[in-house]
Amino acid sequence: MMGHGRFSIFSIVFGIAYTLAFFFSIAVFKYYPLVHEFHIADQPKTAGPPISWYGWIVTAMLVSLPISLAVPRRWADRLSPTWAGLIPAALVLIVLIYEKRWFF
Amino acid sequence: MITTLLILHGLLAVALLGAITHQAFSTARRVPLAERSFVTRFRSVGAAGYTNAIVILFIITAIFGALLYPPYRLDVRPTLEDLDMRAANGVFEIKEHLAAIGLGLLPAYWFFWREPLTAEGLIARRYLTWILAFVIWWNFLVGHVLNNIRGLFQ
Repeated sequence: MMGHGRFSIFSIVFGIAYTLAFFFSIAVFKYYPLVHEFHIADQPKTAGPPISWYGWIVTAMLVSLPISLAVPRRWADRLSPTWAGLIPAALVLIVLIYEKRWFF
Repeated sequence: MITTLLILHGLLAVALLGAITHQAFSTARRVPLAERSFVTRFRSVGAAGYTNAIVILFIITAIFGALLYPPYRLDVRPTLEDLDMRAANGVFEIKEHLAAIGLGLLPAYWFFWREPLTAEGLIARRYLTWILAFVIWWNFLVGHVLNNIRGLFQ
């Protein structure tokens, strides 16, 4: 199947990068809603609770976009389309297993 | 302002839910015309025609969700923590992760639903559509439960 490679690689790498980013708490920035400020470095408690989610998404984007564009199209298209479905399904399962810590 | 955003977020989610459910059911096995019931008619839609609407609705709904996140983080989450409602916080954590993974899926999802649909892309199309359907249903239900949690768990 021609042309799917870069789209599939972006989606696969984005999911993996996002999962690793939240698992290891790697965010390019955090937002502090109490003071309405974005910061790269952690702020003192007086700044209120941070939101890392925006930063995790941007981190995943910064990883996945260059990789999907850098892989030559011929190589990318060798990837079976099935992986574009299987790997994200596995990531969803990993997220559910990891977050079960809230329930038990 | 927050209430307006919340209502718009919910309305967009309803539209998204309808579109993705039709499309997800459409990826199931085709049934001959004579055997068609309500369910088979429900899934016998021109599924590819929903794709662009789903992509746009997902992105806009996610943006609205992102705008609603700060008030949730400052007002709702501390209250849930004070009430020791760990499961409520947990389902929201899953909601945010699924929304992000769903956003990342959109390029591949869009590609595999591009017309003319190919047989090689069938399995990927089916997986991606059902993953998105799961994400959207989870996020919709969790959003509603959390929004109404004070009334639901008194």
